[in-house]
Amino acid sequence: MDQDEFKIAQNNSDDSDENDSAEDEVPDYRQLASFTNRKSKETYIPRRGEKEFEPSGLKIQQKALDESRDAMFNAIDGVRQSSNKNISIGLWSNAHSRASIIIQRGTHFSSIGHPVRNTPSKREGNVEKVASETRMELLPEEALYMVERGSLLCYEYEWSDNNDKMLKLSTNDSAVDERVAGLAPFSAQRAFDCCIGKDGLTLEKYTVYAQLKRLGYIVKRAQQQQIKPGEQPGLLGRIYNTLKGIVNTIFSPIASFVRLFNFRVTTLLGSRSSFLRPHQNYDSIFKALRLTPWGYNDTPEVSTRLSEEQQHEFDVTWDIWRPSSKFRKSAPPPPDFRIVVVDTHKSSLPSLEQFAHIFSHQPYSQPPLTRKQKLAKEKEEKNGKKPELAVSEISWFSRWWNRKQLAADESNRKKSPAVMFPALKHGKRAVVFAIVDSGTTSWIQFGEGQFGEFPLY
Amino acid sequence: MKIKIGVSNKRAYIWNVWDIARLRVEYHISGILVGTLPGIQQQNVFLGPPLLLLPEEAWVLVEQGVAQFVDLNDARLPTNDEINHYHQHKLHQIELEAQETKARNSKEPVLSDKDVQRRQQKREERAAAKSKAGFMFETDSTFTQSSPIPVDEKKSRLPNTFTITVPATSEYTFDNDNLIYSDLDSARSANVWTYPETPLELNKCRVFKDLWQRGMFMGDGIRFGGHLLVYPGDPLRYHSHFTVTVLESMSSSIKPIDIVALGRLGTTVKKVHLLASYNDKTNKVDYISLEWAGFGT
Repeated sequence: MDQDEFKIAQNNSDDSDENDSAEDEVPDYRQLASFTNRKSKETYIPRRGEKEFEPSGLKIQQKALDESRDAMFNAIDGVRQSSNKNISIGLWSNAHSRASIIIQRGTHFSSIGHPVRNTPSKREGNVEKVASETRMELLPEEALYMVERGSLLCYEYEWSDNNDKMLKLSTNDSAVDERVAGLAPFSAQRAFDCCIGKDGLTLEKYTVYAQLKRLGYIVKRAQQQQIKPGEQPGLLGRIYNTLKGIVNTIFSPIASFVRLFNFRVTTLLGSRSSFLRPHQNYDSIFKALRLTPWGYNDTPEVSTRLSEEQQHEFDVTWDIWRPSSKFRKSAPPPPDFRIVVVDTHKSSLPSLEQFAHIFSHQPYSQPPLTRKQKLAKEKEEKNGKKPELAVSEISWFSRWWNRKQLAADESNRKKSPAVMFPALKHGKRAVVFAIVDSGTTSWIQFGEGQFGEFPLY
Repeated sequence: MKIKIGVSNKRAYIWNVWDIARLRVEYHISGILVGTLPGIQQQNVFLGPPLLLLPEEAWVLVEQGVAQFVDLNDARLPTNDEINHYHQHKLHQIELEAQETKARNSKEPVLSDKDVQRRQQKREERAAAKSKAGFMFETDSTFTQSSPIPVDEKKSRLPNTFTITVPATSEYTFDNDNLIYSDLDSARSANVWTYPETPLELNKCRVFKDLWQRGMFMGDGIRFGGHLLVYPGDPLRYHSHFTVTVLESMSSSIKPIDIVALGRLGTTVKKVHLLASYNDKTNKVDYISLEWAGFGT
């Protein structure tokens, strides 16, 4: 019996009670009561509760089931309501697929919405003109999220242009209420019906968005070129593509041969100094002898082999930031993670070319900190000092002086398992795939391998 | 009364909490709650309406005549009466709430109309006196501010603090008979509900129906690597026993490597993995269970 089979056998002999509780499917809503009744403000993640193996017809089981069901139905029968002091009022337009905020309240807008400048209207006789002002517009996913969490009450209204007086910002509840008196309210259900399907927002994308938002992440649409389906290249473009294709087929074997040769030459040239001076260590000798190229250095070429649709099939959907990051809407920092949303039933694993294409659009990420570095950083942060880098301890002069020594140190450092394995595991560039199957999400991170950077010779 | 399944963007939602309960208790259909739970919004463990039905669940419910589809994407606009009714109801609620808080805050017992009138008179007299001898009270401005002045009562229609409710559903979207489809064929021809579209999807529906008729609860299987999860009782209280992979037909071929993978998977998640397909000859669903045989180890 090999080791993991032994583990499995052990698990099987376990009581089925503690069976997959962390991953299991449906939580027990009776646990929710203990969550809502808590008075302390410490963060607390509700537990899912224990389950039984199968119904056995005992009354006590039925009683527990009835209690669980009652707790669940009570919990989901809640009303989305809140004081007028922390709920915003807005208008939703189906034609624009945007919600415009009239009364802005609450803290959500530090990361939600984008400003839209009202164009100043010309004076028409004595008619009061709308002053140029910025108002807040929400994308469909933002509007839907705000509505369904009960933080935004929208009314359905189709505004004609930015000068529409209905859009004017206000802080006066009564005045706004009079303004919207003839409009239909935008219920949570209407929000699901109207927001999904607009602007490329699918239920899968929204599910991921809402899950991340509920966990406190800051989520924004990824800044990437949007696919324009149905747009065919013109005749000239098509001819050009065909010609390029033919040329490529003829020359690509030659090209790769040349590249190989070239590579060899440049490697030798690059280590020219090594010819002049004797090699200092084995690393440089091995480096000079390395023949096989690695990684996707010629990605643009890879991308051209994919059709437009294939290129955009796995575009990053959401950029997300950790809740603690200092986020400014006008100048967002580089995102902490990039999420590609995939529908279980509509796509399969990306091809190698698609992976190469995906990674070519990702920035290089820092290798993850080793445990030592992490501990040191935490300690220093606790002490209120800025985390210092080990390198900065050495002055520039000695650094220059010890350049060679440092390079050797660096390659040694890279060989330490504490550095190498996390970095290899994380990859050079990484994206997270969120795979959604009707409401359930699985998260998988793909990283670009970088074995070439951690040679083991 | 048939349960109404709201279909928008070809997804089947149940919004009515009563219907969600009925489906669960009477028809052992659990679905998946996908909405933010009202009241406790910043967590993913407990979610709230809408209930998203698996396509197989919606298919079975309509096929069995338990439920009907309502096309929500083509919903009519609300009439002016309906809109007015909403706003009046809203104002009425706000008024009730204001009265309640007032009653709670004032320590005096409820006053009769006469008392109210007398008080109003007194207040007006005091106000008149104040305005006459305004300068005398200037030093006392903080006091005068804190005294209850019904300044904007006529102008503003809302009190200072009140509760706003975001409505959960729009009733008017469910009552248009032209958008209600009671059988699968009409829903398909109207392009409202087109699932199943492939032989595999059709087989998934049939396998689902067979298990459902045996009294099982089903969930989506992706967490454990199959098409469906099978529970012997309500998933609220019981663990699932099986994961099911549905095959496109009785003659579809499976590679040995996949069988090993599924067997391993079933063992690891402590469930029995089933292969299932609909048998055209016998008009029954056939199941094969995979069990890891520990020979030679």
